[in-house]
Parts: sequence; C-alpha cells; structure tokens
Amino acid sequence: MLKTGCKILAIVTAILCWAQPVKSCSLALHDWQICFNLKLPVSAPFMPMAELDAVFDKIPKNSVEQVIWVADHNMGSIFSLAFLHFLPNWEAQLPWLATAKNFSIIELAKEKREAGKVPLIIGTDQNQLQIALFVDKNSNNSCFQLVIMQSGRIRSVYADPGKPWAQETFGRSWLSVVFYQAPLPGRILSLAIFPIYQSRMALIDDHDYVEHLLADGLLTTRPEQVFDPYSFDFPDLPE
Amino acid sequence: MRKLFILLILTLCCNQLSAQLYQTFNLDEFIARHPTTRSYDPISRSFNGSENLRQQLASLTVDIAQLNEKLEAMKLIQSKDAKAFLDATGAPDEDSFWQNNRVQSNEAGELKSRMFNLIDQKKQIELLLPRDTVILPEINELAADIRDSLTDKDAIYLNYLPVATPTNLSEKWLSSPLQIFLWTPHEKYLEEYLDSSYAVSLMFPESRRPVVYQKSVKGENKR
Repeated sequence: MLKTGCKILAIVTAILCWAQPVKSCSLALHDWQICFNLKLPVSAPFMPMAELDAVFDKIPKNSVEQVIWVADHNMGSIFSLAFLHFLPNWEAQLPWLATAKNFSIIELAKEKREAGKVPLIIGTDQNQLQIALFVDKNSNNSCFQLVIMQSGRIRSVYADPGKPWAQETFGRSWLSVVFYQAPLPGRILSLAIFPIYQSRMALIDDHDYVEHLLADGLLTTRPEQVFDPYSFDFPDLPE
Repeated sequence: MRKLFILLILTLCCNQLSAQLYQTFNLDEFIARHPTTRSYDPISRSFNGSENLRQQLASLTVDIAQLNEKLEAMKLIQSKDAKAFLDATGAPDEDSFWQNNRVQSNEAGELKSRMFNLIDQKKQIELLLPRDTVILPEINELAADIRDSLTDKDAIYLNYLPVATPTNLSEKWLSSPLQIFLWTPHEKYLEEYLDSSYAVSLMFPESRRPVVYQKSVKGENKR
C-alpha cells in the first residue's frame, strides 16, 4: 500500500513539476464515460488539502502558531508536509506536526490548552483514495481524464479559552488531468486541483493545444450556450 | 418553348439585379450614435429608468445577507457547544458531541451552498439579464430604426460590423468563420458567399440573426 502511495505521489509531483501554468478557458465539449475505477482505503491523505479547506475561514488569521495533524501517518502524508508551503492558505505556512492517532483529539486539545499553548488540531481518519479514468466519447475515445480523489472524516479543534471551535466534516480533495492520448508534457489539456480556497484551481489550461485539436476536428467544440463555468470537471464517481 | 424563353430571360435579369444592388451601411456608427445605446449606464449595467433589474438584485442581496446572518448564528452555537464540552469535567460523551457537531456542520454546509447559489444567481443577473431580457424591447426598437434608415428598399445592405478590439486571444480563433470575417470584413467575401451559398447562417454559425439586412423585408431582419 505504502509503495503504491509513493508511486502515485511521485507521478503527481512529476506532473506538477513539468506543468506550466497558463490562463485560458475550456473550449471543448466532452462526453466523459468511466472506463476505470479503483477505490483504496488509505491510512492518511497524501496531501492535507481537504483538511486545509475544512478550517478555511474558521479561525482568526495568524491566531495560532502550530498545527497538529493527527492521523495514522504514512510516508506519503509525512512527505507531503514538505510541499505545504506551496499552498496559498495562511494555515499551510505554519509548522505542521504530524502526530500518530493514539488518543482523542479533544483530550489532546485539553492537554495542550492546560500547557498554555493553543494549537489548531486536525484529525483525519476513514480515509479513502479513488482513482478513476474517464474517456471522452466525443473525441473518438482519444481524450482522457484521470481523477485522483481522496476523502475522509476530518475533526478539527481549536481550544481557544475565549472562542473555542470544533467541527466534524467529510473532506474531499481531487486532482484532475485531462490529456490527449497520453499523459505526457505537451499533451495535457488541463490540470486542476480542488480545493484551493474552497474552489477548483487550474494549474494548466493549455488553450493553444485545445485550439489545435479543435481545428483538426479531434475534439468537439463546446457551443457557447453549453458553457457553464460552474460545472464540475467530471461526472460523479461511483460510490 | 416560349415559357422556357421567358424563364431564361427572368433568370438572367435576376442574377444581374442581385449582383448590382449592394449598398453599405455603418452599423457600428449607427449603434454608437443611437439614443437607446447612449442611455445605457455601464456602472449599473442597465438602461436609464429601468427598475426591474435593480429590484431583483436588491431582493437577492437581502436573501444573501439573511443567510449570512444564519451562518454566523450557527457558528456561535457551535462555538458555545465546543466551549461547554472542552470545559466539562469528568468524561463527557465524545461520540454524542461529534454527532451533534456533524449535524450542525451539515446544516451550515447547506446554508452556505444556498448562499453561494444566490450569489451565482446575482452574478448571472448582473451579467446576462441586461444583455438578453431587459433590453429586448430596446433591441427591437433599435432594429426597427436601422431598417427605417435604409433608403434603398430593393438593395441588400452590407454592414460594416463592429470591429473587435485587437487582442492576442482573438488570433487564436482562426477556426471560426465569423471571426475571420470580423478581422477582414471585405464585402467580396459576402458577395461570393451569397452567390454560391444557400444559407448565410453557415457562415455565421454563432449568430442568432443574420447580419445582412434587406430593406424590403418587414418584421424579421432577413437577407
């Protein structure tokens, strides 16, 4: 399991390194059909993006000095902490302490409060990783979308004596890569992640490449009236 | 034989006629100078005197503010519950606390989702309504004024279309025939096209209305 996780993380990191962020819009009309779906239970998320989203806008900015992340950590989750400062959230810029899930986070919060420090404590469990591959029927099955989604239960506690806060939510984060024929640099139409500030963020949106494919009739042009900027990138994944 | 001869004569006359009766009309300038377009207020995104849009936007703003207040109240309740639980001595039921918290979080999530929907609606109205619904009567009036200003009732008028602001982006739209025409709006393209084509809409697939006006046609603008 750990080996698989490391491989996925390495692939995702490599794609992100090659990717050059470009601003543009989606011009193609896709008809996504699922052709591969894999669901794996994992001990901890590979990147605490949903965790950051769960605490977004909940605590006054710069009111905490440390985040304690409680989970059954694996090498991927610990390794991901090295890349946290690339995310724009102010909470991501704090030092994150990966702690094993040995006891209740409420008890941990009480203990820390009594010690005079009030860190933000985020606990993650019941984690799952879902990998799905979609094929676009409108492109004669030549355009694909790879979705890597992680989900889990997130419990967060901020035991401030004046204004404490606690919340349990179901967190979800994903990475989506749309590519033509092969997921190689130069053939990637778009690469997006969710959530960044509670919304999708496009790291790549290769307008020129999409235009080229549209001009050659390899993709279907999206009619103007079909364009919906609020639509999701892919259909619902199977439960 | 005589019928065939008359038919041939008529056909020849019609061809000659249709090839010669082209005139031009500066639609861009006409629209810019028309009182209707001049009464448009870009800041409020509506025409002067239009109240419909403002009322809808005001109603949505009130609804969004109410949902925001509910969310704040819910946040306060969660905070009070958390304080009570963290300050409690002994061994309170943690599962029950989290279960209750999850219900509150779900409710807050639904409220937030509704609020975002309303915000989206507000944005849509701000962007689309002035273009489509509200200004339709004004557009009809404008189109009627355009037809009235065409003096030759038998000619086909070729518009000088509004020229798009040159940007790097527009160069990437070479696949669109309409865009090609907009960059190089030569009448000869239209003349050639009208002589050989059966439908102008093929050249302007994105246009809801043809851009070529014929004075003699009443009601709809047709070529």
